[in-house]
Amino acid sequence: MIWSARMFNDPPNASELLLTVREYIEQLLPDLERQDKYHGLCCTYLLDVVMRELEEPPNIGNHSNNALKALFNNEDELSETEFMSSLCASIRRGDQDGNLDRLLILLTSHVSKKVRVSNPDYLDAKDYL
Amino acid sequence: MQNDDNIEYLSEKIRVCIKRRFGDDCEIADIELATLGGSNRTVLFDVVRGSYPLRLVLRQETVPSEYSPFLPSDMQYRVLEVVYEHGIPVPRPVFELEPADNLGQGYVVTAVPGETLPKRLINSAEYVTMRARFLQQSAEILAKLHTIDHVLVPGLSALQESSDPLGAQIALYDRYGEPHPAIEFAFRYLAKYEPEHGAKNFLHGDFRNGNMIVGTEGIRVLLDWECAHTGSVMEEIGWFCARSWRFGRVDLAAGGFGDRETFYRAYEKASGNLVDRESSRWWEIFGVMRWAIYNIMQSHGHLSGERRSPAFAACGRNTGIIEYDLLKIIAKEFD
Repeated sequence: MIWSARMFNDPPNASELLLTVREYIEQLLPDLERQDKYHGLCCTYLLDVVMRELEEPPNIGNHSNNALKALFNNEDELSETEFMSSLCASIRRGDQDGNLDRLLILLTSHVSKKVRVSNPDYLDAKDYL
Repeated sequence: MQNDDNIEYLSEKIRVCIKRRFGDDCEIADIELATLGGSNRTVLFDVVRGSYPLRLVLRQETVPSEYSPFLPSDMQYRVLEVVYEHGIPVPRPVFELEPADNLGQGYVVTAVPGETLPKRLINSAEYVTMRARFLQQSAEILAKLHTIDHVLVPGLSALQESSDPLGAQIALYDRYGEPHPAIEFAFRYLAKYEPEHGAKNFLHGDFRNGNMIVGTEGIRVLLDWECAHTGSVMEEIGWFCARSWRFGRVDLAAGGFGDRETFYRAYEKASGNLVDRESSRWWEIFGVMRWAIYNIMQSHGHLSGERRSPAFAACGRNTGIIEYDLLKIIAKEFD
């Protein structure tokens, strides 16, 4: 399910609109040169990112963060940004120095979720390992 | 649009700038806006006098941001003069801009034809057989560069990148105010295992595939000297071998051109100094961390409106991919 499907808008839905824009840029690409072609390719990449983000469950970021929060016994109702800032400050102070092996695993899981949206092929490609 | 983003308006200013120096009997032609980089605009043009055109490149500073980690134009120009005088292959420095040019800060160098795109250098059949040559030349050029006395560029050793490299990156990261726990983790890891750095040498600071122009005969010139500073030569070797420049060929650890040991040995032979393998690996991790912060910087430039571009927006989402590399390398799952 995507966000716009729950918002009672007329079709095309958000993903379909993005795909329409992407298809149009793709048609233009062969006629573009150098800098314009490069930026055109970047635009198709950015549209792919947005499409994947729309198709993810809204709370996708929380799955990995919940494990991080559990590690820190975080009982406060912090927003995701507040929690990330708090986590960063904790690492900076050295509070987690006794916990680095576990933290490395959890952070890798957290970062993987971001990559799953920005470039899922990167996680799956065997030749990157 | 009466500003330098308008190529017609910019062309007229370049025409006046060139005639001031080379006389009214010359003309400029074939003006091409090549790239809009992180903090500069690159414009190529011919200076024509008689029948022989001289192709030049204007590097114009577009965003003299207080947050920029890059050298100001006047220092970049001095770096270029010094390394050119010492026989390092660089475009020949021609002149610096002056206030009367009404073009802001920047300088002009000779244009050098050739290839710069890393993916093409690594994957194109035309260059596959040249990789060993690029690797050897990279080692030889770096060995020569590292012998230049850095006091010839006043202020180079006073940069925070020179005196406190890890602190400089933390300071840059802090300016953007974005929480990235993976980068914080890397700061902690790097501080814990930081090696002794030894003597400070003249460093290019961004020596890698993508910042050089090559031909089928080899490397023609090194570009992008805005990150020059002083430091351990292991920093330069580690940066060259960082995972971020392999463009899908992760087996070619040394800049996408070959394996580490071949590169280390070529550098040792050219310089007469041993490469500290362990220290170089530490600098590789440092390099991937630094690259992640540079991507945050580019994204911040886009979001703040300093320099809007789809490429810089993409840098923001690229940061997570670099963080992934960073953590996997620290975990010793990636080489």
